Amino acid sequence: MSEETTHFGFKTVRSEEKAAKVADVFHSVAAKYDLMNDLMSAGIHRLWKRVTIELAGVRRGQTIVDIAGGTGDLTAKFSRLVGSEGTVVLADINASMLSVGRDKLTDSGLIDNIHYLQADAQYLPLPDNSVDLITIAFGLRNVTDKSLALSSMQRVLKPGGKLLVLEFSKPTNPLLAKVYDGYSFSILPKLGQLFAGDADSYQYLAESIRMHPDQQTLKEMMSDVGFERCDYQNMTGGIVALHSGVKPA
Amino acid sequence: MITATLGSLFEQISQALPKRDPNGLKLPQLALATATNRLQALLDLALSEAPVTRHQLGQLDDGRLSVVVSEPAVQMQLTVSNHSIHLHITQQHAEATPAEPCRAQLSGSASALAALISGERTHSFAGSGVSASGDLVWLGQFNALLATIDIDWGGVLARPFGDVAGRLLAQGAKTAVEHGHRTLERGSANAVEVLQQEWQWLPTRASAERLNSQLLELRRGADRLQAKIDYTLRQRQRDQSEQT
Repeated sequence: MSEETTHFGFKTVRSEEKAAKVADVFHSVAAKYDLMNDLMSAGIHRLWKRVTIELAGVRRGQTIVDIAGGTGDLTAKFSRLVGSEGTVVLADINASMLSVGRDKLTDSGLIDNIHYLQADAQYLPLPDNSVDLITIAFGLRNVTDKSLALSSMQRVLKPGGKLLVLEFSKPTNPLLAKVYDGYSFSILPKLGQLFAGDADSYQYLAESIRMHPDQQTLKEMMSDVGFERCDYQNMTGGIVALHSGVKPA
Repeated sequence: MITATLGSLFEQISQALPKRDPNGLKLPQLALATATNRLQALLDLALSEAPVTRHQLGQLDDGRLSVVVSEPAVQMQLTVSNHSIHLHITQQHAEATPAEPCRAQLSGSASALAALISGERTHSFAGSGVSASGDLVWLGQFNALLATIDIDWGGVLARPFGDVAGRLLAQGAKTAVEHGHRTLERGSANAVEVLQQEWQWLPTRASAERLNSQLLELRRGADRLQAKIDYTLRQRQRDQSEQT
């Protein structure tokens, strides 16, 4: 009997094993996640997220789901934008990340319109047509079946609702790609070892980025599950891409 | 040999250099989204500080006003629902959004629309350069409602700065704005005077009126001449048809 397999970084693993392996990675990095993001990207991840927030066009009273929301960077901004009439759901499959995010947001005084949900993006436990905006920042590449996750997001979005996927992608310039490769496989694991005491998790981060579908492929995947007006914008030379799609009205 | 090597090297370098990415960050779209978000925040603030307007908004039927600006080519949609106004601005040449029914539509250039908004309220769009269509009664009610927004800036500033400081700041800002208006009016009058009297770059009002009346006379003369020519031509055609 053939077993379904998927990739975990450069390794091939059985599909049902991937979620547990990804969970181990994020249990390991949760405590130092924000610090490492700042270190690894030299703070540029804040700009990528700022662009995502601006293009999200959030309005007061809306319902937003921040999938793989981790330590809640996007959730914090959305919480202020939707106001007390709106709702933001911080969803993450990983309990450690969710716990760090909840503590951080609570310490910032953001408590009245945020809900926490430990959920797998492939099987979102939310009603159909109930959400105005879904964001998933640096999370989709860790999902075992990306098409299934995109379908699940499409199901819970309201007609006219928007999906924004912020994810590492493929640099468009060959020179930048070489520099980026050198940085990802030589420096990144060492930074992980030095500051988080965990080189393997950051080695996985670099490998998982290389295995993630490129810009055009992800755009086609979004169209295939039924999103319309699919588009993407490269940032920092394609190191990161922001994909957007709208559920047909 | 050397030329071929240099050519190959040049080709490799030019391939490695960054090129314009057609899928790079769309800065106009980002700027428009940012502007929309800030305008929406201002609108929300204005409505939250103007309870009378918010109450009237609740009584207004839900609907969407579409404002189509020809130059720059943007489309703005103001959606009234549930005691609030949602703003949405898109570039007109952006990918077409699904057609959504609009209760009323205004179209014109940005300057004509701005003049309409900043000018005195009138009951007619004639001569304003702006055309209106759809439910004009609803549009009139919506327009009247926006005109009633009266923000208590003293109250807004009192929250972060305290009652006394907030009122003083609001009063100071109001005085500064009034002073600015007066200065601007005086400045523009002085500039016109210098251009007309000192440098004589612009005609005086009297000479402009004289020119205007002369132009009017010329137009009437041209009209009379045109009428005479038409009459003569018709006369000649009649004569020719009688002869034949």
